[in-house]
Amino acid sequence: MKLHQVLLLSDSSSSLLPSLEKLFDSEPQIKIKFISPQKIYKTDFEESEFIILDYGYYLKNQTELKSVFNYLDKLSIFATLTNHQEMIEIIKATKVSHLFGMSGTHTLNDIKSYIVASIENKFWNSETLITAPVINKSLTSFSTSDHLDQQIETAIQTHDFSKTFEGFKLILIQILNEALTNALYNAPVDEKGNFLYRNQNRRKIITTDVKNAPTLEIVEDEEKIILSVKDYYGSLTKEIIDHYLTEGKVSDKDGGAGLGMYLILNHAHKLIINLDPGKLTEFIIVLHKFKRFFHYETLEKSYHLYQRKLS
Amino acid sequence: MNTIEMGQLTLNIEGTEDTLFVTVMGSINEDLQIEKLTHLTSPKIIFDLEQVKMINSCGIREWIRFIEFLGNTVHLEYINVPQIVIQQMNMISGLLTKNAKVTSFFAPYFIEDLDEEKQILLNSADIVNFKAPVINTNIDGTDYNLDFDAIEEQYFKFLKR
Repeated sequence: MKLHQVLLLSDSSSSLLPSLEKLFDSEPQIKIKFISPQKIYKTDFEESEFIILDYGYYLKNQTELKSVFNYLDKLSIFATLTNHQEMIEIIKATKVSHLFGMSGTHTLNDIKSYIVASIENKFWNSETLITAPVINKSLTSFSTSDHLDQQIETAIQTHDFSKTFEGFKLILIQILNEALTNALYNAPVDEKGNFLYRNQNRRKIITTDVKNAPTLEIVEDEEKIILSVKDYYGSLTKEIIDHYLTEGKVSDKDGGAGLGMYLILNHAHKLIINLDPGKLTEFIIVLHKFKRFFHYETLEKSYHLYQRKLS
Repeated sequence: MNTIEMGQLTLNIEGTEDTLFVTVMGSINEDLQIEKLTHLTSPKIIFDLEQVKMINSCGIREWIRFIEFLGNTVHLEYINVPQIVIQQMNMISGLLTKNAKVTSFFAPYFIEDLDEEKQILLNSADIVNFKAPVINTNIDGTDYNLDFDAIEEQYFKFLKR
């Protein structure tokens, strides 16, 4: 069995390490070793399969740690985030693909799930993310952009928003409008990889065959709702994500305004982007259901980008 | 009154030579066409946004283009701005331009004793040092305090522009 080494860089490693190790008791199929040395050597970066960096720790040790960003493919960051702007600034500055908002037990469980999914070459999906009994589930296909908002309202009508604040449903519709518009207009490519509708005026209706139509799966438990928007082209790349995810400025290009991913990131509690190049792009947006907007706004946020060839 | 319909968006326009009142209803999205609004010229335009349900990314772009078309010298006011639009103004720089101000807007409050939320219309002039005003209400003869239900620094960010 291969030994997977995880390098944890944090002032709190003495308390975090035992808790993380304990979580792996339930994964006997994975042999894992956590290290958190007092002095960091380049070999620690190279020999570790995962580097988990406390952003506060990085800010105190920037000179010593600046080369950690040469290992972006194995790096994840956790940070105490009080608002979306802080999250956006960290992603923008570091180009990291995994950022965990720190909140005690939840975060450690998420870090464990991330490590397991990476080792097993799987994506996070709604099954990974659901932590309580499912109370509702739906699946809708969108083969046309015509009356998209009405289609979205129909898709969500069986889900119950009575225990959420008034604007929650509107936020959900906003997120789905952006994600599905991207899936319908920006995703489709021809056999040579040329984008078919990316530069098209968004007033022009797109109709696609059912086989390639993007889908929306909604899974709901008592505390959260998980939206999964998939397109079956897999044309989104990390370069495009790096350009638009944290920009927040209107683009003058033809086609879309260049704000969709940024708006989704700003609204989501958890945003997961799964990329299987040439096959699939999936946006998973997790929203926790709260009666009070204040609780919704102050819940920790996280962001994850997985790039895999699954087949 | 003049009504302009563009897809899911409707604008009702009335007013005088000096001031136009524009009630915006529905979704501000890609259906917004500036070429249908080129006759809207006035030194002052007041937009009532209370009935705006949503503004998506294309709508943000088209609205910014519309405001740019109107020019820097026109004085713009937004009244009755709903929470979903306030959130977008706080997220996207450029949505609230220098020649525009938000005069009144809705903010979330919560009545702990009744476990109930309320959208309260606030005047921007009543926000001092980015602190939410204290609101009390009387329901069926009982007085209640309302808690401001957002993070003040974030919710009032648009007032700093």
